[in-house]
Amino acid sequence: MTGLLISLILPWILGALWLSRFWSSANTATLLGYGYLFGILLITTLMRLWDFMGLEIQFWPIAGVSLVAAMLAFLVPKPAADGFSGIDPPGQQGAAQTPAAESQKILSFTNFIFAIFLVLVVVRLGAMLADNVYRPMFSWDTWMNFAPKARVWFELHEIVPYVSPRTWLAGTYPEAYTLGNSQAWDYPLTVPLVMFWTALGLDAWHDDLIKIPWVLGAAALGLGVYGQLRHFGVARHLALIFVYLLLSIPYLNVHVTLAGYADFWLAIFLCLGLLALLKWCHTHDRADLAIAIIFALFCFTIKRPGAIWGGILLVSIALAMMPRRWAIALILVMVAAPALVWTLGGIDVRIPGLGRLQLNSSGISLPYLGSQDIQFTDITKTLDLSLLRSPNWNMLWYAMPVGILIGVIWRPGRLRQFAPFFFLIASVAAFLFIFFMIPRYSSEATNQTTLNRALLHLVPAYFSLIIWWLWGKNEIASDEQSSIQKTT
Amino acid sequence: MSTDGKADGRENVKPPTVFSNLSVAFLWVNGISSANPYVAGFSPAMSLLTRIFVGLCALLMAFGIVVAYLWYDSGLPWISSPPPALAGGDLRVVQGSALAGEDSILVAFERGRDRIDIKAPTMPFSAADISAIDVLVDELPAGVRGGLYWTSSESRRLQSAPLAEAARGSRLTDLSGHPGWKGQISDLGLVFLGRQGSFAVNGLRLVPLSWQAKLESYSQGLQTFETWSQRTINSLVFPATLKDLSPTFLAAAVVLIALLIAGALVLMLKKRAGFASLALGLFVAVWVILDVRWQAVFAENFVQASRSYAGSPSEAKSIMEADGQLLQFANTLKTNILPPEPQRVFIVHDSSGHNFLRLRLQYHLLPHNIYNYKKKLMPKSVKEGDYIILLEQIPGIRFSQSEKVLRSDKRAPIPAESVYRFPFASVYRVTAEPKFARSE
Repeated sequence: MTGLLISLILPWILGALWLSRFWSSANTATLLGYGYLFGILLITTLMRLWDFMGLEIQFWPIAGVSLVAAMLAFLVPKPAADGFSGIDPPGQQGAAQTPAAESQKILSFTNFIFAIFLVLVVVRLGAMLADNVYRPMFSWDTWMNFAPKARVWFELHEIVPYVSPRTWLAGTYPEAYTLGNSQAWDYPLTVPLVMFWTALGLDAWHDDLIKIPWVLGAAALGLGVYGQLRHFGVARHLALIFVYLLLSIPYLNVHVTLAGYADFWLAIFLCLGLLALLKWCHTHDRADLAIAIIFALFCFTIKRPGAIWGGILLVSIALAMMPRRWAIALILVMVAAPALVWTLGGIDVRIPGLGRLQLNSSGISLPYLGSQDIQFTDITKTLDLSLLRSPNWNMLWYAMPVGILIGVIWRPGRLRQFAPFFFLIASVAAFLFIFFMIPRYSSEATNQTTLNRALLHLVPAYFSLIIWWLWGKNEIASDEQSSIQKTT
Repeated sequence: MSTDGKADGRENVKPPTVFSNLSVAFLWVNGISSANPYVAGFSPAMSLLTRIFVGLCALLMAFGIVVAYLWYDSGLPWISSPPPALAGGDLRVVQGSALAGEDSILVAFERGRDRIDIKAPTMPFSAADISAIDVLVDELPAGVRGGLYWTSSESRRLQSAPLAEAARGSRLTDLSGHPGWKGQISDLGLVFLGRQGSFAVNGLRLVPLSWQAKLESYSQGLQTFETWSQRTINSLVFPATLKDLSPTFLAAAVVLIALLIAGALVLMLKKRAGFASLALGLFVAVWVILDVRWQAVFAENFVQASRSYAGSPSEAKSIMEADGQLLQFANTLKTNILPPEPQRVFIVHDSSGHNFLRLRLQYHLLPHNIYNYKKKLMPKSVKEGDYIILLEQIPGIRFSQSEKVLRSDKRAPIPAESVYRFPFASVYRVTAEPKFARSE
């Protein structure tokens, strides 16, 4: 049990300590939330390096190195905190208009609200943790695609390679394994590595306990979102309410409770990566930018769709960094180019080192992602059922369009910071294209296999973006301010 | 406030427009001053109690409006006379063993039979008068499903419907939407399918067509908590009794109407500042109400999980009954048959695609190196020392004890020895590379 606790806490310590050394503009909640995920990133990377160097993967050596690495963070001088530490913005002008007694009443009420929702969030996380402790690995893809790798690596103490069934039969790599799902052998490795790490801490394969990191991921998501919303000037009780709304989404709870899928990790990294980008739009702090880029890149290592969403986030980051004219030009090129290619009959070429690039009426083929046919399928009824009439999302999908509409009417100025909105529009467009135009995914949507899982990747990010849009108070750094910050 | 707009120094500001009033509607509790100080000064913030009061009124009124609309739309009477009821003792068990009492009947599956048939006394009635049948039955044993059947004057075919899901004694099964619930209904009965177990049937209530019955059925549906399955990770579903009116949709409608009512009340009160927090509060309140049900679903599934798995060692937890046998088989193999170092194992099973048995067995056999795709033997691929598991009956594959080979149609025989037999699987070890393997 000691090993388990260390395996769960060590990523937090490692990640939070190092982030605190470089991320001066982050408040405590942000550091804790991002810290866990950054720690997971570091430890899984360390495990890969360890294996690459031919060393046997054992828990205590890796834990020791990680702990030393965490302690080394203290050698890095901690930067002075700047003004964006997440306190409420000065000048509570609304309060100045209300009588003092009413203000006191409101303050007591908001404290009460804060306490209530804190209890709700903690109880929710506790319930998910308790269920994970009892329930063994339940969901199909978990024990078919992800857990087998982790288990084999744990038993053999090395990251043995996995190959396709055909390659396995050919016997080219005698030490290689293959999976029972012919498509999953080359899935990204992060999720099995997380399970592997927890099993190392346990020093045994426990079907139930190795899923606990999913609960910690949920806690990290809540902390990260809370911290970032506080940075954006959202009042503490409101920020906590929004965290509760996010963490109480039933479908999200399912992925934490029936844990083992990669979708939830992709959702967390994407959401917090986008929030880091939003924060960079405020602060132009290089650390925000670095975090956003790192988290966007890490999406590629979690799940194959992470290449799409992470790629869109990277493009959004690039747009945010560019001068406005260049960014607009690039957006126009990105919109016009596929349309032009399509109009001219499509494209089908082989890019050396990357693979086939195809976009025409026959199908679409992208390097790393593979090939698919193209055919329109109407899945609006399925969308209606999944989003609006099922228990999956509570009332989220009723509120989000309304939130966007209110944002457009009431805070159109935020649209000037178009990078996050590019992410929103591009990812929605990609989602609609995938599920309406690619028959394989249309059928999976119709039989309710992948639709909600794909939405889960994006929902926390969309939710956070809309909250920032409507409730964020801190002004976005103007071009003039950012150039001043760059020169000081 | 000065009527001429001058005495208080606001002579240079514009009077409020619809848009600026809309903007004011989004002033927050902690206060953002409106860009138009004239509007901000004109509209003091609602007190906290006012916001709560307005919100509650709006919510209750909205709920009432929605219920009233649904009632009006249904065309049903609000309430009807007490429904006729049949006690358990009035029912007759046609198939199954029974111990009859006055108010209930204790039934059990007979050995070798997977069905219990219970008939109600003959008492024809019109389907137009009865909307639902409330089956009063104790909690059914695991694996037992129940249903209603009847004959209708409109159709010669026997009609049936599954019993509504419920964990407790009453299963109010709404038949008003059933295509076979028409005309004169007769020969009403209950059927239970399963293999074992006993339970008490306490009677039937014929529930007349009324809005009260509809509400009762809906309410029971809200209290019926879905058990998680392998499909849960893909999508959650409400119970069948709620499918006609999704609680999510209903909640959203209540929120929308409540917002409109609250907006009207706020305009009447002329205290627009604070409306945003009121709107958010309404939305969150209804979200929390929906969430209470989700928490109940969660709790129910957690209780089931804790009952099923509490006390079991982590290494021995199976996710369903069939899995328990696979786990036992796999553990026996790993402990007693297979060497400790990972071996190449071929699982052969007569199935295609993602089959639970073969995939789950593969998982339980880890860290042995498993190939798990074929329905046939693979003489070209096996090597001496490999293991082959034949899972369940596989047409065309047989083991010759005399020749010590595994044979399948039109393929080279594989020299093997039988190392273990289990009720649903047999295990062989390849003793030599198949002959003519390279020439095939």
